[in-house]
Amino acid sequence: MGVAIEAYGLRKRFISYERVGFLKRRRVTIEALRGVSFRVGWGEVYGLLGPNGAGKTTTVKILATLLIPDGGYALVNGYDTVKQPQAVRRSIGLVLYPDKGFYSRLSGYENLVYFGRLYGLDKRTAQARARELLEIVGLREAMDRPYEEYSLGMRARLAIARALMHDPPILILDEPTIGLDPLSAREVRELVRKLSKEGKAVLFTSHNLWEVEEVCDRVGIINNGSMVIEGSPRDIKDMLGLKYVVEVEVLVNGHVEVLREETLTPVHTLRKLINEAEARGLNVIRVRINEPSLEEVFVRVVRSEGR
Amino acid sequence: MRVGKLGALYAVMINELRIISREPGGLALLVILPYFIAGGTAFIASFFTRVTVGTFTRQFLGFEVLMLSLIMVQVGARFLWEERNGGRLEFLLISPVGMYVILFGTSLTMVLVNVGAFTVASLPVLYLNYGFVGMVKLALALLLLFIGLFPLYGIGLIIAGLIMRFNDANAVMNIIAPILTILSGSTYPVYVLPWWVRDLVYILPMYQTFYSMYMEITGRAYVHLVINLILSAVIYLLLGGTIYANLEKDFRKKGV
Ligand SMILES: Nc1ncnc2c1ncn2[C@@H]1O[C@H](COP(=O)(O)OP(=O)(O)O)[C@@H](O)[C@H]1O
Ligand SMILES: [Mg+2]
Repeated sequence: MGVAIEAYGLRKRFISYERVGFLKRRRVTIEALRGVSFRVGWGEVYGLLGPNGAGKTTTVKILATLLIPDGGYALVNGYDTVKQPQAVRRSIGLVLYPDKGFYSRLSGYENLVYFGRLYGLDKRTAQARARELLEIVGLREAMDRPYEEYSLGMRARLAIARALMHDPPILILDEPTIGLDPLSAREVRELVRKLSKEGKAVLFTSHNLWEVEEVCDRVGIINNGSMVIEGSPRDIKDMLGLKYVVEVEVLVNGHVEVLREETLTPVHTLRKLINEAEARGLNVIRVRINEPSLEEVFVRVVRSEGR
Repeated sequence: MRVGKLGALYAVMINELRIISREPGGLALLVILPYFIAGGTAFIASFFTRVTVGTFTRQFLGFEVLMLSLIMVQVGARFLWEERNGGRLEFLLISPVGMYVILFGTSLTMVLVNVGAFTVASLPVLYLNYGFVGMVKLALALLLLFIGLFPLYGIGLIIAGLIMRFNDANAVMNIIAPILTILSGSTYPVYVLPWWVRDLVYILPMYQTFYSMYMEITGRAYVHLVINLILSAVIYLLLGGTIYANLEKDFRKKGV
């Protein structure tokens, strides 16, 4: 079936106006995307990672047919986002804002049923599907309460439920966990993992590194409209030559001493340290390997970009 | 596929009713206000009965057509504005149903509510003046009114597109309401206008709808007016659809 999402050299430039006086304004060009390419496979969770203003939402909107790119193109489920927008729309479920996008005076259930009907589901199917999804996202209890009373976490989960109403093979989630408490955020991530296990392709944007590390199979780091580095969280660490920290605690004359070494090859170093300790006749109490976090990657990459 | 769109249209209308009725005073807006306006209009217009029945009918129909025109032309645009602020517009734009159905459904809901009121208010008058035949006349007039909604919807699409593209609702709306009122030509005798305004009034669907309804009820030849109205519907729909599509595309280029 090929790949789920393919983006080739996406470019987007916005014209904006800065206020420089009472009525006067200055025209400014914003290079939101400067040629972004990536692919997302079926059953894969792809994390698009970047600081605010990096171009994540712009990328998402292009993939969702809401924006027409100035250059490059994107295929979603094999369909061109500009030439075959209808087919693309049927293939994707979209989460754009975690905190708005529903009718505030309607209940979560009514909202879902309505959006389901806009997606061409008949009334019965929409109702059944809404109930099913409210159960899955844990909103069964609150389904008849008006949306305006929902907490941020509940809103985010409802947004995901809406994205699933027409059972699309591809999910595009723009910062679905932004502003959520850690518990709600984790629930959302677990849901995403579960969906990808069912074979759905998921594009997940975030500016939160450890989160992406936890949920994504592959990560692309985007900064200032360009893809800076791409790969599995592991690959990225390797590519940047980030060091693991290996620590071996040993008992020396009744008190604890720590042997510590930074390395690119943690397994080898660990073995070496243990051998050394044993050669000296010391007791090994505990070993620990600290992986470099994507946080470090991010700081490095973004710094070197000179932003 | 066609049934799917109709089903969606129905869903849009029910949803709109639901939303309005949950707003504070929304139910009043839906039920009481239209009857109040229609009744008030009938009352004011009834002063003209001292002149002739024709004048009464003329005034009453004129107000009805004007009200519906304002609704048909403005509701879609206001709706877009609200959807945009509520973060829902994006989801409507990418729904397979399409904005045309959604906008039409929203406008139609308000129209039906008001037509209901006007129909009820006009029943006794028509019955008193024309007897049972008046009922048949009314049914035919409503049919004409229904056709007249389509060219109005075409204009509504253009305004909705402008509002989406230029990201402003109030300025546009404040200009449009008085212009529509003047150019409707349905609440005053058109012959008082300078010729060039009069011609403008003639090519706009408000006057066409009003005039064909009026002619139908007062029992004069009107088949050519119906044909006019249908032609007008086709032209304005094409025009509105094309302009809206272009503005939406422009909107998708400039940034949602
Ligand atoms: N409609 C728009 N008009 C003007 N500038 C925009 C528009 N949308 C986004 N931008 C700009 O494009 C850049 C990328 O924005 P965005 O894709 O929203 O970033 P992110 O989602 O990664 O935070 C930012 O500098 C933003 O200000
Ligand atoms: Mg964003």
